[in-house]
Amino acid sequence: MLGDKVDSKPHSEGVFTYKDVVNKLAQLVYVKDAAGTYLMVNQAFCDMTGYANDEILGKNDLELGLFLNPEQIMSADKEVIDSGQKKYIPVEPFTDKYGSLYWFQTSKTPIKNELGEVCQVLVISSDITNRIQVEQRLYASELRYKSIFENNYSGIILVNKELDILNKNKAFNRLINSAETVLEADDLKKYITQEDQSDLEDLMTGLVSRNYEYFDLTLDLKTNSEDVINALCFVIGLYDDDGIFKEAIVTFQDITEDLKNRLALEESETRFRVMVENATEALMLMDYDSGKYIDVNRSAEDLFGFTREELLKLKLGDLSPMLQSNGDYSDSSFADKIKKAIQGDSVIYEWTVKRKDNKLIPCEVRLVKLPFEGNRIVRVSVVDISDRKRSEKMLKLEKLKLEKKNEELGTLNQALENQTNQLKEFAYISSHNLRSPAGNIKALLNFYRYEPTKENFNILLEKLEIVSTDLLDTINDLAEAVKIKNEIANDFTKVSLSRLIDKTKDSLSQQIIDSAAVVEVDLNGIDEIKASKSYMESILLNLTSNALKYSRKDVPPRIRISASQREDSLILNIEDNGLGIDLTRHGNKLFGLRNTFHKNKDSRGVGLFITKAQVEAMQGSILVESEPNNGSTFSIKLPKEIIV
Amino acid sequence: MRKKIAIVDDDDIFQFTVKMQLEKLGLAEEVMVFSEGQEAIDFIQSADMNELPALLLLDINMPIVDGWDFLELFKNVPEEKQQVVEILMLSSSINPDDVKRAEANPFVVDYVTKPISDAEITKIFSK
Repeated sequence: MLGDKVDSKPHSEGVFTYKDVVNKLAQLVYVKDAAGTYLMVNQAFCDMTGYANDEILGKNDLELGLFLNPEQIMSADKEVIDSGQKKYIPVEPFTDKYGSLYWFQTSKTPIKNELGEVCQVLVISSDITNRIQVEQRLYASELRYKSIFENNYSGIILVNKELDILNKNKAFNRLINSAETVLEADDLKKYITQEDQSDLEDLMTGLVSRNYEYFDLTLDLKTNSEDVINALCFVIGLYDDDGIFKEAIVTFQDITEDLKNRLALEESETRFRVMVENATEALMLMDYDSGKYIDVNRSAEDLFGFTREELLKLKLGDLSPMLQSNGDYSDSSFADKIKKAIQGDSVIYEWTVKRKDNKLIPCEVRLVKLPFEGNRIVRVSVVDISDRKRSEKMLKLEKLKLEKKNEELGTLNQALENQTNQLKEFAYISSHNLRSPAGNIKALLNFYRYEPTKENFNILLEKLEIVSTDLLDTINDLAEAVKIKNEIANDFTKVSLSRLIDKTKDSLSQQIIDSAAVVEVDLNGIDEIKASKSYMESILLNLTSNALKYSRKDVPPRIRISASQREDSLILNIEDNGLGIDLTRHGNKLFGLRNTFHKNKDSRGVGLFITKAQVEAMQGSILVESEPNNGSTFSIKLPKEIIV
Repeated sequence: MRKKIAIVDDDDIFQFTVKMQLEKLGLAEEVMVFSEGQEAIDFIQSADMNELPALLLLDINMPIVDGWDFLELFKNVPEEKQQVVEILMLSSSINPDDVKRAEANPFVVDYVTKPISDAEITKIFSK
């Protein structure tokens, strides 16, 4: 037996016995018989298992429980003994008495007795626990990486320097539209253009020589379905411990859509840029916070006369005069407006801008806040409205002219209508008033012709005398009326109302005394007026004398002459407490010629006719309010302008 | 047939000439003259039936109560008197408004412009 042999070998001082040697070994060395009983263990075995030598010897694996699989161990031992062949077990789990797991690499060697029969087995086990643990970790890591590699959304391949694909992931297959499910070796050159290939090869040279350890490039990847994909490749070199290039990992990112989008965006950008550049309105972008223009178009350069570079240096107030046409300060007004725009209002307003050459231009400005994240940007669009303003002004002027003309025409028309009516009225009055005396003359002549006696002749003469005087009076009245009516009074001079009234009172002093009349005057501070002196004298005299003349019997006349100013006129009232006039009956004829309304010897029916004509000649009008036995008020309305 | 005639007119000469004319033509049994409307109305109101004029020549333009006023006041005259007195308006006015107004009045039988000729007056009396 080996144990015995070892033990039995004599050993001298300074010389290790085999037993010593075996006990010093790091490997576990032990011998078991055919029944699996431990015959010998070395020190390392005891150290590893935690058992003393005598605790182990004489027991088998089932009893000791050192292995996770004692039956298997024992049968392996038996197999060695039975076959007589050495057995190598690369990995064998082993536990100590505390249950800790170790991994061993074990060889089992049959030991023959003197008879040449195999009766024992020599087992030598090396602790490979550390190695196994490293391997396991590596394996787990590999698995993880493999999983990451295979399941990555980006296409990833592993290539050598000849661009042969050593490995590729599913994503890459999807990218090149390959139906492959098994990841087979491939050739990258199949999928790229000649041009890209030479570029890639050049770059790979640098990578292999380790001038750089990674690079990227875009290339067109031809797919199995003949499509072309724009791919962004990232290539990283893998080097061994000596720094020698081994492989490269190539990651592909499909940027076809990105590229398409970017191109579309660029195109759209370009279109918009062209549109903005060629817009007729001046467009400027302003950064609200800095108050500076950050972009302007060509029209803005044209409008303001500044170059783009100059405009970008200007602040918001630099393009306006200090004051706007409405008197607002440009700076504060613009600040208010732009603030409103920032709050989201759409702001439109007219604005005077100042060009570089200091020329002022009327413009329409629109402010719109643009949805730029982070920055507060306002689009300022400015349109020159000089032409519009000019047209508006012209139109306004034309309109004013037209309105004035219309007004003139209206006035003229009214005047014409009045004139026509007056003429018609005048024609009737003339006809009537001349017809009466003419008829009388004819009738008188007829009367005499029928009986031409001396007596009748005397009657005729007497009557003709009356008629001719009447006729002459009528003609004179008519002539006077014609004279007044034909001309608008133009001998306007400054006259004092109070003095005119005094003069009237003087002229009528006898009648005033005789009738015990009271004449009150209240001019409300109005005195000097610009009017026709003769007409004003005539009007006052006529109306005042009427008031005295048509007084009630036994009621002393009370006459009140007053003046007042209305919004657009001067009102002159002559009020009395006299007989009054029944206006329902005589209203339409009150101012007619030769119309009398009282049985008064002096009334010829001329005064009011002339008064009215005189008032009208001064652009005025006359009205009357009256009731029988309750006095009359004649109200003269004259244009306010005559008041001095 | 000779009639009682009334002249209502403030014109003295006209009163005289028409009176002479009527007398010359022998048309009037009696000519009454009123210088003013109110006088005529007062007379008609107070007069007996047999004193009433059969024809009344009415002027338009008179002071106080003119021709139109007279026609208004005439509405208040008893109907039997109204039926007796025929009113003829006589005026120098050729204003169509006056003519229309006269024609529209139920009491006015005719409107004649002054001066009135013998022929016209004879024609009126022959009606």
